[in-house]
Amino acid sequence: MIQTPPPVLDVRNLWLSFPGHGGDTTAVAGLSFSVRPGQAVALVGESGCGKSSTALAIMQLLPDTARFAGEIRLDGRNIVGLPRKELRAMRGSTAAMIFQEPMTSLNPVHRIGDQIAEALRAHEQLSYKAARARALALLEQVRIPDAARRLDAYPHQLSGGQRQRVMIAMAISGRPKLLIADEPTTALDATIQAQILQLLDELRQELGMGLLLITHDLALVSRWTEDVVVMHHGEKMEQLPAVDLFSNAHHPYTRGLIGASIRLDRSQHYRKRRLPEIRVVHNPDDTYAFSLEQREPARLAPPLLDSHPVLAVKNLVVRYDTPRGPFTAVDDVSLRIAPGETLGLVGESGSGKSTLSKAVMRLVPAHEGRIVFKGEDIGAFSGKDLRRVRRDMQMVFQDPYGSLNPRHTVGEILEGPLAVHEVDDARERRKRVLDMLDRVGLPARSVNRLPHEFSGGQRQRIGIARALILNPSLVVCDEPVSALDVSVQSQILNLLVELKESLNLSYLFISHDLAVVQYISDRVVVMKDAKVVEENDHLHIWTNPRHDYTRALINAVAREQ
Amino acid sequence: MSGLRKVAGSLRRTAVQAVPTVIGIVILNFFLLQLAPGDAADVLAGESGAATEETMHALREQFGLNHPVLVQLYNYLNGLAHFSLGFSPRYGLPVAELIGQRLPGTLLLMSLALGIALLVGIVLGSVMAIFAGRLPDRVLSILALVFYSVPGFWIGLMLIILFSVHLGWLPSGGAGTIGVDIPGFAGLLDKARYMVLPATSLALFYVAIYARLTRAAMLEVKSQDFVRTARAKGLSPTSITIHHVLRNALIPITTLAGMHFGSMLGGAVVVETVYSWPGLGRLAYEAVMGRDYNVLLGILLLSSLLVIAANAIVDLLQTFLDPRIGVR
Repeated sequence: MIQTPPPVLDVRNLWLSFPGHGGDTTAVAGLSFSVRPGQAVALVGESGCGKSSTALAIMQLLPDTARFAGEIRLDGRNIVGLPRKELRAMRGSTAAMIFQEPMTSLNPVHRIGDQIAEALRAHEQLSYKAARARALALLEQVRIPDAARRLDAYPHQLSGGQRQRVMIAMAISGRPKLLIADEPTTALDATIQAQILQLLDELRQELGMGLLLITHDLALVSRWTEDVVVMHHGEKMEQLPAVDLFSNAHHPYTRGLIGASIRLDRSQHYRKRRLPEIRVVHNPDDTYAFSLEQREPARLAPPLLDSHPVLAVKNLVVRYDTPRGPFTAVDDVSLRIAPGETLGLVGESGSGKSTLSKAVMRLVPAHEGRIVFKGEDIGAFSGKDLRRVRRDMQMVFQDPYGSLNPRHTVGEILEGPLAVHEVDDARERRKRVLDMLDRVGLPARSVNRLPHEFSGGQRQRIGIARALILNPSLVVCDEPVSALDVSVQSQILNLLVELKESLNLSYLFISHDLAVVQYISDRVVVMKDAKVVEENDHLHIWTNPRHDYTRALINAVAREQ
Repeated sequence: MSGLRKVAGSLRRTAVQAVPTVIGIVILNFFLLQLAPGDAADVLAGESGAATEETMHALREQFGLNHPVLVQLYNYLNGLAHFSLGFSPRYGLPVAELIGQRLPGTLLLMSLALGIALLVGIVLGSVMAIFAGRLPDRVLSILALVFYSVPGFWIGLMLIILFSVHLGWLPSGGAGTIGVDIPGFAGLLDKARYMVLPATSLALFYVAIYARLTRAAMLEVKSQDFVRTARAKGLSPTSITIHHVLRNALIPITTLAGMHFGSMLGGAVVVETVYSWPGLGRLAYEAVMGRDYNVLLGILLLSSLLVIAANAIVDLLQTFLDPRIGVR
């Protein structure tokens, strides 16, 4: 019989709470799980489920006010209540952690070689020179190209993927027995994402580390981990082998998450099927009930492909002036959107898709080409003409936190566009605000509340209401669901489809998430390096991609799944 | 090295851009001063008790005050082009010489005051940030508020009463022991003794500003992701505070310090008066009272040059402190 080695991480009945003004908030409630050496375990759940608090608790990086009960055994030793000095010795050497945002997780004013050397010298007596040599070896180990030169680079000189590699190099510098990765690839593009996870997987096997992967992305889990712990409201819903996640999940919440998440290989489309939504009911006795709600598909008229397009962009060029000379962000791009059509725009960060959307909205100037909106060339419009056109084309933004003025009530936010566009009667404005709130599924009493009182999904509903209150015919959605949880994502996508049905909208839907674009689009345009590389309808682009880049994108996602 | 060449290039560009700025400032100042009633001849005549029409005319003739305004401006600019700041009717000396007498002492006093303010302010601010919300923070916050709100002359007087009158440790005014010429190190020490009190009373106000700014900047940096990374690496709190928090907090502090250096030059009249320190602030004040426009224009020109120089230095310092800002 093979003897199983003792776990490197053993969490036993962990309770975690934060004192607040309105009483304690419980972040984690009675959580138990363990990670063996060399094993990869995933902690899965939506925002606020306590997965990140658990990770920070294992590193003892929570604020001093946090209250613990239970045990966290790292390498056999309970670390709850250890003196600070011993905790410091543990951090980075027994357990190490990498974070979600590689952009902000490195100190911008220090060279990356020095930041790695600093981690090394915190745990070992090393000369500066020896530490630098080790840092170089580590950079090579995480496969940073041209490592010797990169050693003296500053974080801002590296790409997001490279920065995350530097974070990983720093984390493995102390040869930790456990590596905690908190959403390590959420901020990265699909192709980079796969490379980083591959690297983590190889390092785990090379170094025999336990890996605790914290993520909201179910597709990652099934491929890169062995065991999955599903969490909701601080409790463990279920624990199961990763291979069984999609086939054998028992808990209704897990099944709900799986049902609500969109996958490229399922080829779902909004004209055929609505997305199922998870309903979570918080019972009065503090228990939760979960159910999956299937909805009837919307009955939509097919887009009028032969009629005059709502929007036609012809040979558009947008340049920015940078210290290193002009930079072409959009290069000779043409596209058209028919009435009632949803055009999906896919591309990785820096491909120019956001600039394109801003140029269409006339928020940045175009240098060449034409923007024809409903038969009018709006490229040279200004003042009154531009205002008249903008009434008819609106935008939904990515970040539901940053795009709403925190000091305006929802009523003021929604009335703003009406007032600008000369709806002078206050009662009329009020009526339209209430009507719009009802359409996006928010209660009428929201009018007097401020944005921070709403959840991310509700705020995105406010953003959509703001865009739609002027009855536009074209709505530009710039990554409208990428900041949202899976269950909220399906609600918002369903809402967009419902509104399209009832208001006869056309969408320009921008996203880096291929599965979402596959679901919501009638036609898809793929952008890379400021150019359109491929354009096709939603049936053919996924099955018959013609361009290498499209194929690479699809493969990167398909491999995950 | 390409880094050094870039720095030299950036300094050269600043110098070239400074020329039109300075000319604009001179012309603006010239016309602003013309708006004030009276001229040096009026004041001289007033101080001597009486003057005839002829004496007044002779005085104006002597100082070139009888020409039309534009001719006077042309004459002044022409002088500047030949590196001459003109002549002071009141002191009977070339303006350059007058300023030259006062400048080294003033610069020394300003640099010392700013140095003290930065050092003490950053240390106090760091302590406040480390103990944010606790007793040391509360006490120092009140102290900073006191320094910030109490007028400079009062602090100056109190320092004189304590250190000169009661303790007798330090001289109460002047810039050096009069009548003796002490050579070498002892001479420096003598000058330094005269500088301690004025520099301190000048610095206290700025200590308060820097302490509060340092505290705010450090607390802001403390909540950033890379500080959490540093903690996850297992670094000691001291190392985190110095290398990661304070290092990043220095960036906004240098910006403010650069602005203060320029404004301190003209803003020290009160302290200079309290300590009878022969500085540029007092010279400027006396020039205003005596309608000695040549002197005043010279001082204003000098301080605008200093502001430009201070800005250039701060810009360079910023690129050194924050690698994301490239030297161009």
